[in-house]
Amino acid sequence: MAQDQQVSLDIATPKGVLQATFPKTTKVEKVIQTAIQRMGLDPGERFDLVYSGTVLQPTERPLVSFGLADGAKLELVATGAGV
Amino acid sequence: MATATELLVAEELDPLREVAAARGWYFQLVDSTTFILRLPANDGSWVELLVKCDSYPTLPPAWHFRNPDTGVLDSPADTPRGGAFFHSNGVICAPWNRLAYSAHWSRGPHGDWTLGDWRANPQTGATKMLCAMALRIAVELQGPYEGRRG
Repeated sequence: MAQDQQVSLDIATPKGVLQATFPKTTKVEKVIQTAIQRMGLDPGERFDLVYSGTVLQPTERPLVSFGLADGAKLELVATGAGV
Repeated sequence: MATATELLVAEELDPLREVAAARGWYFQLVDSTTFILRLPANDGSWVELLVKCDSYPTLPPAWHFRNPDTGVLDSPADTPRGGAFFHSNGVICAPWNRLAYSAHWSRGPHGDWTLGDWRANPQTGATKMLCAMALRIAVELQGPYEGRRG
């Protein structure tokens, strides 16, 4: 796949930092699944992918639709709200 | 000999140190179960926390806001507001914060939660590790944060 069709992401997770490259058309939900798998997180738990304080939703949307630049820093956080 | 709490805290601090280094957060270990974490907010300021993990994981950590100059804890001037996690009582309102429990902390909003059951509380979700908690606070400071209380 051409280099310009991919985006490298730096994802902070509860088990450390994951640096990975994805096709820009990858859906956010797939990125979340990949991070959970590669970092050994519990697949039964729910996580959100966050960029600059904003949750990337809906997760069916592809990465390219959020305008993420190469090297973008994101956070994988447990789904939930304060109570 | 290290206690089970000290061993677990040390293990869980490894990923937190890694994330802190990658994100430029300030991290300082105070003792084997206590650390300081300084996180950036969306207004360009930094929010400092003193985190006490004694009796962890039987009890959740205590996440105090700390003044970086004086070391005073939980002053309104150092306490964030905005969003649902930064409670008007001046505490992070989540089952993974010991200070959210009124049985433990006078300003704790929740008398309906049981401290020892924090991991089983549905509101905890996957926020069961120190780095997961820190990430949640970091995200709140970049998103719904609206400044300090005082």
